[in-house]
Amino acid sequence: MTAFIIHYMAPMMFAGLIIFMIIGYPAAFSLAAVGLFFGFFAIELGVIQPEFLGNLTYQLYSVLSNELLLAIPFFTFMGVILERCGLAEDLLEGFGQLFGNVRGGLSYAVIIVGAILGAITGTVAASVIAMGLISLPMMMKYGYNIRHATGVIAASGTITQLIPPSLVLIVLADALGQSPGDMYIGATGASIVQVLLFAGWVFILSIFRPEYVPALPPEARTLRGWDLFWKCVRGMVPSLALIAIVLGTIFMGLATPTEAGAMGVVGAMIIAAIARRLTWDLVYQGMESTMKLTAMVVFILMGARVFSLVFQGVGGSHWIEEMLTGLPGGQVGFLIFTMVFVFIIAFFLDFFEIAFIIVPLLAPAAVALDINLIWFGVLLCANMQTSFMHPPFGFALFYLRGIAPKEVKSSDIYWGAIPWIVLQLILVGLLVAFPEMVTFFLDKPVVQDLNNIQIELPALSGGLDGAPDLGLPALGLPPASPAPTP
Amino acid sequence: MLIAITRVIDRVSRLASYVAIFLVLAASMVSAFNALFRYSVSGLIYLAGPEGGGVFGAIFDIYRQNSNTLSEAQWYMFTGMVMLGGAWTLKVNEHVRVDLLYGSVSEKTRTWIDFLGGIFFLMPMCIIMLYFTWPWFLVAWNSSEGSLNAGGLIRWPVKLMIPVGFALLGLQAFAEISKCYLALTGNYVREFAYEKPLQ
Repeated sequence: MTAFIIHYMAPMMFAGLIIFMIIGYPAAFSLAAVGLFFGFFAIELGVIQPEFLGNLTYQLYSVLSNELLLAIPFFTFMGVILERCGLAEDLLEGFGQLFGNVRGGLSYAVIIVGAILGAITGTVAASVIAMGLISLPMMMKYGYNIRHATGVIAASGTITQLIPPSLVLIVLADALGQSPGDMYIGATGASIVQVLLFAGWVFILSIFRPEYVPALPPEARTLRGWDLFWKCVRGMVPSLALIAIVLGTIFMGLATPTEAGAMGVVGAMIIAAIARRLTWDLVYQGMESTMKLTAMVVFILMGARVFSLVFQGVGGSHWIEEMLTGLPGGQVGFLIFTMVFVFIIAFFLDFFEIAFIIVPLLAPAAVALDINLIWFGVLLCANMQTSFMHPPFGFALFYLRGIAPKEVKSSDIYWGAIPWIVLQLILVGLLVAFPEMVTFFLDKPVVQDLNNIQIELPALSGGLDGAPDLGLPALGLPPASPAPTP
Repeated sequence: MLIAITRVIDRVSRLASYVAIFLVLAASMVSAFNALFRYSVSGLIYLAGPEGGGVFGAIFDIYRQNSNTLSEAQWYMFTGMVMLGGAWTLKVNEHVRVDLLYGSVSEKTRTWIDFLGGIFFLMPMCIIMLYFTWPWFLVAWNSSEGSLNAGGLIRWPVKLMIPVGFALLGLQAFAEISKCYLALTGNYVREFAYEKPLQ
């Protein structure tokens, strides 16, 4: 009996995790509790040594001293400030007027603004709410099909997930042990393709179903000439400047994502100040919601580390790896299995949970099958995007429901999401078929610099002491090793 | 009586959360300052000339001696943000859940889930974590363990934050369990209904 239990410890632990998570107690604590329970059980059975659990402290410490995770509060804080400084309004009105005279013009405006907002705020909620409040009434007023209108808004809000700098990519980079800079570069191509796919769908609709996406009548286009120009400039210039600061410095290897995030916070405050919306109230509320989100996310990560420490101790990673590498079809079989699996599990778990719990289990098998982890990460990210769009649990639909006018039926929102989920799945398919979309930009030599930035990180996740030393970057290049001050 | 205790605990968590909230701003500013200074380092070297010295050389030296302090201060603040903010996040019910079941059951069942989860998951976890992290902090305290980096900070404050955070979380867990108990036996109404978190 005991031998049987010892042999099936890892599967039992995994089953226990699923049961305890489904009950609905906060994921962070369920994870840690399952880990600890099985840890003591395994010590009792002699599967692991009693000292083994002492590693817990180092696991927690390595999470908390990971400089990369600092990017979570920074990007969140930046997004919360930008969300309230009127940038989205300017952008949407400007682009709506600009494209107004073509069929589907408002939809194109929503897609483009969704991409821009995604690149600067990085939160799905902020994008969907801003666009839903401004564009949805306008689209309904001018006779857009309601299902199409809600679908395009929700879907454009989720572009945020894939377009750098997104939190999901940072978290995935950490989970896969890759450089977030590379992850960002890899995701750039994919997010461009996604925007094109969305726009292409609107274009197809405008040909075959022109009544769904009518052009604005001339009297609706109130802004013309210079007024329109200034409206667009007012929205575009600060956004592009911020994107340049944040992404540019990361891509050029001048700053780590963390530092770029901090610069982004300062940039967001400057933009808010220029728009005369920078009040202490706004900053304080931003700080408070940032703190809560950070604590929530990092507690999940700590819980996941406790779980996976014990899970590996009882041989869980072998079990999963054998199961996954034993799938028929090698690489392709593995990819199909993981993509379907993640697609389904995304109905139930949010992306932080997937990234912290599921991805570390998949990663070793991906390595064993010689899969490019950046590509794999971007694939996972594109796939997890759909979790925001699944009726009836998708967050994007949920937010949209919250702000949509009464006459929009929930069933419209749900049905409207379907074509966009299909488009997102087509994106996943394209990424699988053409890995070049991700890896093309990675082959350029500039990436070498980005690799250097992250060289310190493995030491940190190993639980060793020592913060990344960015002490004296000789002439703007990041140091290759955490050397003490020269 | 029990209500009074939960109020005191809520207050304690709130105070800790204020620290965590302000650390968000402080960490962003320190990190941005650090990054900005790094961008300008090559400029400073150029201005200071090949021999160094002068005003710019002096600024450069100050930065060089303190840059590790700054970059370590960043993640000290991050640790504070998480560990001091965790208890308040629990109080306002913002630790994310898998709401497959939880979202569809009655308020009474939810209270039972939180009650049992608090007793069997959260409290034991906090106690075990305290058991592991407190001696570990004491080692750092007794040996005045410092950073391996030049100009780095001493280690015990950040190591202290971890057991303190779990103690705060444990206290708040006790308060939440009490609230569930009161709601199940009396007419106490839990103020923070479950909502999907924003992300």
